[in-house]
Amino acid sequence: MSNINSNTDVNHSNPLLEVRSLKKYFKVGRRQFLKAVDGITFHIYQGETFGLVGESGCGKSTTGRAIARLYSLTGGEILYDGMDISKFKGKAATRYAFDVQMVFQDPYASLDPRMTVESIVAEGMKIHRMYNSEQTRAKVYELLEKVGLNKEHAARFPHEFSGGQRQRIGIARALAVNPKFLVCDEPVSALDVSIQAQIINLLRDLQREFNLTYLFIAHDLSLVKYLSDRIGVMYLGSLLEVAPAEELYKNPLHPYTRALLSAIPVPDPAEESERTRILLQGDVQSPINTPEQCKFYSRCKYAEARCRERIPPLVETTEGHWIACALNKELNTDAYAI
Amino acid sequence: MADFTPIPKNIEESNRSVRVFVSYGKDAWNRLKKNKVAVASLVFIIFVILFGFAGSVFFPNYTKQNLLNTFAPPGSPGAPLGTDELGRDLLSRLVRGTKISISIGLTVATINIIIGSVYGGIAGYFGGAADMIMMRIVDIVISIPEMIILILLLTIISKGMPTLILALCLTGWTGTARLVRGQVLQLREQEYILSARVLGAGKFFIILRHLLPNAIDPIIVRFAMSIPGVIFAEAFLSYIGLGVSIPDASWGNLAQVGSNQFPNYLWLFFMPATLFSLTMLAFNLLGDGLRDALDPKQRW
Repeated sequence: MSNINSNTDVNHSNPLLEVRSLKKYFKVGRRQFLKAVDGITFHIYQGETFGLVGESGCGKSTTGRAIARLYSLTGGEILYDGMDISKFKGKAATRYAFDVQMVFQDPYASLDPRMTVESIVAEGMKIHRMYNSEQTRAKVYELLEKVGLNKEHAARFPHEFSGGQRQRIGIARALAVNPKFLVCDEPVSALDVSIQAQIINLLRDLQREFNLTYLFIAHDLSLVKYLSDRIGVMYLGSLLEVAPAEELYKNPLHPYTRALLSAIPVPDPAEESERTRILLQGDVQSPINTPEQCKFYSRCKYAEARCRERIPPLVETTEGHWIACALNKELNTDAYAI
Repeated sequence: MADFTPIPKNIEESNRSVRVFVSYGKDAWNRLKKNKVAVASLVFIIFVILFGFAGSVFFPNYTKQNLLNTFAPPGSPGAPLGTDELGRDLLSRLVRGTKISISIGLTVATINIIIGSVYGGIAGYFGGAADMIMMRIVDIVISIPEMIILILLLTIISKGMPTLILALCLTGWTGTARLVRGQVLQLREQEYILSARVLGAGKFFIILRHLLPNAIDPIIVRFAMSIPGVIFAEAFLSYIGLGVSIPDASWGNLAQVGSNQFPNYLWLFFMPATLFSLTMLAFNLLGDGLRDALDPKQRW
C-alpha cells in the first residue's frame, strides 16, 4: 500500500477504530427520517490519518459525533480497540473520554465565552480530577506552549483571540486528557487559508509527537490529500469510496469521486483552461426518507437499473481501494474511463 | 546608524504582557462601576432598603394614633414628616411601608426567578415532549389575565401579605420560564457544551459550569427589572384595598390615604408617591446598567 503521507508508524494489522454499517437517522416529522448516515463501514488504523470528505450535509460531522459518543446510534456499531462503544458505562466511558477527543469546527462557538483559557484547557483534567490545582496549571501552560500560545494567554477570555488562536486553544483542550484518537471536525474550514496551513502543520506535528490517530473531516480536497493517509468519500449518508490518499487522487473509480476531484482547481492557468471538468447535473437530493438504492443514482451518468436494487456495499477492487458502486470492477475498464 | 539602539537582552521580559487576571464577575462589576447612573441607582436602592429595615428600629410606632395631633404639617415636633388623619407619624408609616413593599418585591421576584429558571431550564434542557407540554402550560397561565387571578384570589382567600405573595407568584414566573427555556435551548447545542460532553462531563457539571453561567446574565437583568413590576402590582392592589390593609402600611395604601386628602394635605400623597416613583426608576435604571455590564461583547 502506498503511503506517501505517513507521518507516524501506522500499524496496519491493528484497526484502532472500526465503524460497521453505522446508521444515524433523525426524526424530522411523522414517519419522516433524515438519514444523516445510512450504513457506512470503515476502519481506522492506529497512528494513521483517515480523511473523510464530502459536501455539506453528507453526514461527515454526524459520523464524527457518533464516534465521539455524542449521538445514540440508529443502527450498526462502532468498535474501539475491539469493544462496542455504545455499551461503555461508568469507568469504561471515562476511559473512552480519555482516549477519544474532538476538535470542533467553529472556533467561535466551541469555547465557553464565560471561561478563561486556563479553565477551558483544564476542563477535562478537572472533570476527571486528574491533577491537583498546581499540576493542572503547569500542565495547562505546557499545553499552551505545545500548541503555539504562551502562558500569558491563560488568563484571557476566548473573545480576545483570533480564529486561529481559538482553534489552538480547542486543540489544547482536547489534548489535555492525553487522547490517542482525535476527531477533527472541519477544524480549519472557518479559518483563513494562511492560518489553515499553520493549524494543519500544528496537527501534523502533534500527531508525530503524541502518536495520535486522526479522523479528519473536511470538504477541502487538497487539504485532505495533504494530511491524510487514507481517504473516505461520503455522499448523502453513504461512503462511496475508500482508498489510500495517493491512489484516490491518481485513480478515482467512483463516478462521484471523479466529479469531485475534477472540481479541484489547478494552479497553472494554462492547464486549468485546457482541462475538462466533470459537471454533475441537478442538485443533491433531500436526505429525508431516501430510498434503498445507490445514493448517487439520480446524478450518475452511468446509472443503470441494477443501481436501484439496493445500496451497493463497499467492495475491495484493488488492494486497499474500496468502492460502493453497482458497476464495481467495470469502472476500471476503458468503457468507463474518464 | 547610531540612531538605533540595540534591544535589551531580556526581550522576553519586555514582551511579557502585564495584564492581571480579572474574573468575570469582577470585570462586570468594574464596568457597572463606570456607569454613573447605575451606581447612583444602586446607592439609592441600598438607601431605601436601609431606610425600610434599619429605620423600623428607630421608628416603630407606625400604628400609634394621636387624635389631638391630626394633619400636622411636616416639621412638627415629634413628626418630622407630619401626621395623617388619625395623628399617626408619617415618617414611621413611610418606614413601615417601605419595609413591606420592598420585602414583597424582593420575595416575589426571587421566588418567580427561581421557579421560572428551574421550570424553563428543565423544559429547555430535556426538550421534546416534556418541553412541549410544559410550555403549553405556560401559554395557558399567561393567557389568563393576571389581574383577574390576583383579585379573585385576594377576595376568596383572606387579604394580607401571604395571600398577596402567593397571588403574585402564581402568575409572575411565566416570563422567566420562557426566557430561560429559550436561553437553554440555544446554549444546549453550542459546541462548547458538546466538547464538555466529549470530555466526559455529566449533566450536573454541564448545567453548573456552562449553562448556568451563560444563562445567568439575562436572569439577573430580569430579576432587577421584575422587582418594580411586583412592587407596582402590590401598590396597585393595596391602593384599591385588596393588598396590605390599614393600619399596616405599604406604599400603595399610603398613597391611597394621601390621595383621599388631596389636595388639602399634599405631603400625605407626595411623600410616599415620590419615594415609590424614585425607587421604581432606580430599579429600572439599575437593570439597564446591569444589562450593559453583563454583556460579554462589551468587554474592552
